[in-house]
Amino acid sequence: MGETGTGRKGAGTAGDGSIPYGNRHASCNWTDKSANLPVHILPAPAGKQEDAASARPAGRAVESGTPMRITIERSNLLKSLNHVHRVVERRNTIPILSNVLLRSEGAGLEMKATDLDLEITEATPAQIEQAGATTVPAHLLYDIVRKLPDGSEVLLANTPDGGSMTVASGRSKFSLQCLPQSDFPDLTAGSFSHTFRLKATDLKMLIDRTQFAISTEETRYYLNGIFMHTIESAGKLKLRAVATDGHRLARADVEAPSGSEGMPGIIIPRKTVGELQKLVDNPELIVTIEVSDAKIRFTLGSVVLTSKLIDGTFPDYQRVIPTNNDKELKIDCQSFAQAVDRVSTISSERGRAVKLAIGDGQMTLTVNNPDSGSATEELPVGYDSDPLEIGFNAKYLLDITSQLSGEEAVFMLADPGSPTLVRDLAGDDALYVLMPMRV
Amino acid sequence: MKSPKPAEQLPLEFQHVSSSGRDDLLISDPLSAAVSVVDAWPNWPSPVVILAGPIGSGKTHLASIWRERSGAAEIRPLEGEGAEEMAAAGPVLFEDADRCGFDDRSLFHVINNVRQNGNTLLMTSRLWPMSWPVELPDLRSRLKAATVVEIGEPDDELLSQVIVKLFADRQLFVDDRLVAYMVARMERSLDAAQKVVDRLDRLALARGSRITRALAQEVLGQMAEGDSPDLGD
Repeated sequence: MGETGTGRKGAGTAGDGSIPYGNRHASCNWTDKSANLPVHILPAPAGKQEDAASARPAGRAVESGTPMRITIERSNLLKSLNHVHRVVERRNTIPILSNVLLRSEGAGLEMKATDLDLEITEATPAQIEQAGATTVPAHLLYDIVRKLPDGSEVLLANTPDGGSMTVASGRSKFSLQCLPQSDFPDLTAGSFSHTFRLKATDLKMLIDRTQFAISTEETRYYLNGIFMHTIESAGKLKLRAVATDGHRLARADVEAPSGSEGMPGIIIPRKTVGELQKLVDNPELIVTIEVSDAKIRFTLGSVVLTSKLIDGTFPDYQRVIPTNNDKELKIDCQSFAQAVDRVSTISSERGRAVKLAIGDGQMTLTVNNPDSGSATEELPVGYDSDPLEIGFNAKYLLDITSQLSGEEAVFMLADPGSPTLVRDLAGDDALYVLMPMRV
Repeated sequence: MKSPKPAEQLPLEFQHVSSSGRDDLLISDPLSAAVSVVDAWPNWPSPVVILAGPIGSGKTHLASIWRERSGAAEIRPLEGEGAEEMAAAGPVLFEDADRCGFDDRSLFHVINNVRQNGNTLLMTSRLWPMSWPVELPDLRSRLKAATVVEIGEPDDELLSQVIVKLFADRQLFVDDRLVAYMVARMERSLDAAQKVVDRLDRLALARGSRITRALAQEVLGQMAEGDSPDLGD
């Protein structure tokens, strides 16, 4: 394919001494975040961090325990809380992690939430009567604001002792218990080795095309994210995203932006990818991405997302992308997806295999379920190689066809036991590899 | 009537890199003599040392540690391969001597050049040198004079450590109790350990599951019955 590069990531360690993603497995401590507490929880800085994003409100430092009193438009508060509260896990063994940090400075309110692996900060305009900071339960505040009438103004004011915060709007008034802002953990980002700017549409494309293939099986933590790296392909430097769960693999390229050259190969965790995807809807947006061996930071307008990276080695994915598959099958994506969906109605939850019998210009899709019956459907296709019978997981076929942007797709097949390559007929910067099922 | 076999997802065939540094070497009694010899270089009892041991016992790992340390060149003593010249120039390594095959005269000259130039030669083999198909009497006597270090069959401790290392090479971390369960029920060889770990890895990847005792039981059962695995290798 005329490509160079290894598809590997050096095992990085967090420069700040915190435990990166992958290493947690060595101590079988995947879910127990409390075990990481001593190295993660650092007192929040009194003022701005040196490398704080420009989107943060400027202003004087806020001292711990200062009573805060601000008024903010409900729509602004809701929009930011909607982004921020999702990072907060529903269940936490550390109480402060259930809270969102509210800090009013200058002309705005900064909101911050973290799960110790991922941190999101968003700034939004507010009228500040008294600058201050506190933390309140994130989901609770979000639910309250969500139910307030549209177009209303919200007053946020905490008591002088900092023990509670009033949320008032119109005739509604709530009092929420606070935890001190000085206890709020800070995901120390450290320094970044590479900084580049990427169009939101490009970032969205990289995520959309690959996200579905991320593994959810936590033993293989190194597959629980998108592998992003730069690679020389067809004489051009590309920024490439790859994800796989060991059954299928998705790969997408965009032109490498200036500043990304030589960046380390990194694995961005699934949760970070999911949050990011919800933030890149605005096609006008330019995203600033900062990368180090252990962390990544995305700045999207007033939102800053900082995440740890997965400390593992992504497998050498190039070796599993077939290059010599000689049987070319052309299909109409929509009719193929509909046919797969129809015949797989009969399949059981556990066995989702659909058999494709491909002959001259025609494909027969078959599903057999010993418990309920069978289904077949015929579909005209473009195929003139030797007849072939091959099985695939119906869900995987639907996942891939839903990612294809063109009307027609090409399947490059070899035999019923080898990986199949799928891509848009029109040519797209994405390709998919799918392993068959033995049927 | 036998019910039809359920359809099985095939996994992508990812390769992994085995860690082969000195710190990654697992030392136990069967291996200790060989490790001592490699660590003792260049103070060897004789200029020609042969490591003999069963498949997967760590010969290549030891050889790669030694090659790194000594800067040895890898040779194949066949006519026209330039092995004799390399042996005159510096330390040389000949791996898998019994399986790769060699030319008697070429190996004879290699050994002579090593001795004359004060160099060293390390060879690895599954068989002891007296079982090699050597016809040249002079070479036979040269091989008799070589130091042969045997790597024995693994004990339980080594087998456990090797299984943990093989999983770690695949970035998988398994419970100690699962390793003990496997060691107690598997064929006692390092080759079997590699096969078990490889099949478990592939089966877990194919099923999208963790590596559990039930999965290990299934794989060990298949191996005991001599079945080829479902996922073919």
